Amino acid sequence: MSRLVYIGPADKPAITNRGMGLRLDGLTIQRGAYPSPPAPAERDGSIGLLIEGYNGIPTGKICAPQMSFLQFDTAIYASAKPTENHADQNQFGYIWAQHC
Amino acid sequence: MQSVGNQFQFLAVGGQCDTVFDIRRGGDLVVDTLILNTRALVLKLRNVEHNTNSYEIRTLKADNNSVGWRLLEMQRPGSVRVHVGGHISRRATPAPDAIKLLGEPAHQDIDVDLWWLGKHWPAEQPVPLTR
Repeated sequence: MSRLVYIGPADKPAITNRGMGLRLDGLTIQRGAYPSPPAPAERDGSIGLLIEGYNGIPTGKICAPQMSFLQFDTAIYASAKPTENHADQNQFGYIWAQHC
Repeated sequence: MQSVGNQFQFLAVGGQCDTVFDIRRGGDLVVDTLILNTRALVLKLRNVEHNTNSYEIRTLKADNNSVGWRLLEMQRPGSVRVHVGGHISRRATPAPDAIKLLGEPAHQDIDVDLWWLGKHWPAEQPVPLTR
């Protein structure tokens, strides 16, 4: 398993998927340093995984057997950005969301 | 999320969390197992005028750190199907407004049956569905 620490700005998701049929597995994504003692994430709009909507080729169709999200405002955001279409039919296996 | 055709086999939510599923434009969602261990709203339904609105949580466990949790909040009236099973840990008392529905009951299929302190919630417990 891999743990990635994301230090980008709140308006840039850690992972953005604009395509179709992605497989994500065995991944822990943490936003910044984990606070000690534990504290709530900042409610600043940060996103761990953004699954973008699209008017043309269908997007989404993600298979994610195991993922963890730590300290994001939103762990997974599907569709509505930039359009309301697709970003659908996603299957998640074991998802851990901590302070999201 | 729009939540069309999304499935979670196992979802654990811990730490600080406001809303687990924030559904903006309807859709359908299946969760096989949801472990809730924080005081959060499980399903926020913003606009149910679009798409089918079917939400199924087959096994929900509201663990002891989720005292004051809420299950469902509709922000606009409409037809919905919400089926939730599972159990509530002994100390995980739901909020008084844990299930907030808006709209015509004839067009809603609400089936919530959670085992809590030896009884069925909300059918046999003092926290009612509110409209």
